[in-house]
Amino acid sequence: MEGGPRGTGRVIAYTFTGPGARRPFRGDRWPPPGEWAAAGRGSRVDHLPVWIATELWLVELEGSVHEVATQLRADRGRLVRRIDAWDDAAAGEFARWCGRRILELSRAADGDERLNAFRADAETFAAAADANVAGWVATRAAAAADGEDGAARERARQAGWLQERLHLDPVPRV
Amino acid sequence: MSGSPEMLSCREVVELVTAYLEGALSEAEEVRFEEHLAMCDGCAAYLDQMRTTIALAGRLDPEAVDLEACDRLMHAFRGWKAGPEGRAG
Repeated sequence: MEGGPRGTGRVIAYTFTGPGARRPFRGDRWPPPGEWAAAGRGSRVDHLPVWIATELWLVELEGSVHEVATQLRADRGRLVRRIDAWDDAAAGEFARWCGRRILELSRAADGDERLNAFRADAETFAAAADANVAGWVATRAAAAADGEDGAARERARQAGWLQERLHLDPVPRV
Repeated sequence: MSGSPEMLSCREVVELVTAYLEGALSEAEEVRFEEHLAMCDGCAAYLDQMRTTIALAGRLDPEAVDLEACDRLMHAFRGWKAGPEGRAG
C-alpha cells in the first residue's frame, strides 16, 4: 500500500514505544505529550499486535499521513496520552492467551507435529511474558495450520483481544 | 528468527542495517525492517550498537588519536591482513 492516499489533515492513532516513550528503532525518545516530533509513526488497532512493546500511547499524526503495510506514517507526530491499561500484567495475559490459542490450534489439527513445536515455543515466550513474540508464534502456528489466511485471522483475533482488554476505540479520538 | 514469508530474517536485517540508517530503503522495506526489529531484541540491540558506533566514529578527529595507539592498531591490522604466517613472522 506504499504510495497510497496521503491525508493532509490530522489522524489519531496508536503507537507502541519502549520504556519512557523511547521511539523504537530511532534511538531517541518522543518529546513530552503535546510537543511535535518529525517522522510520526503509528498504527491502526488492526495492526497493533505487530508492534507490541512496553508502552502504548495515543498519538496524533499530521502532514502527508499515509499507510504503508502495517504502519501509519506522517511528517510529524505528537504523543497525546499513554494507554495505562497496557502494562506488564496485560502483556503477560496476552502472551499466555497466545499460548492457549496455539494449544487450541494444535488440538484442532489433531496432533500436527509442526504445531507441537510452536506450542513449545509459545510456552517459553509466555513464561517470559514476551507478548510480541508470543503473538508472532501464534500467528505462525495459525499459518502452519491454515495457511496465510489463517495467519491473518489470528492477527485479527489478537487485535480484537487488545481492543477489548484495553478498551481501545477502533477510530480513536482525542 | 524467521519463518514468515513476509518477515525478514536476522541475516537480511544485518545486511540492510546500513541502508536503513542511511535512509536508503523504500518505505515498504523500512516497515518490513522495523517489523522484524519490533519482535527481535537481538537485531534491535545490533541496530543500537551500529548507531552508537557511527555517532562515535563520525566525530573522531584523526589528529586526536594517540600516535602510539595508532601504531599498535596499524601493526595489528597489517598482521591480520598478512594471515597466520605474517603474524608469526
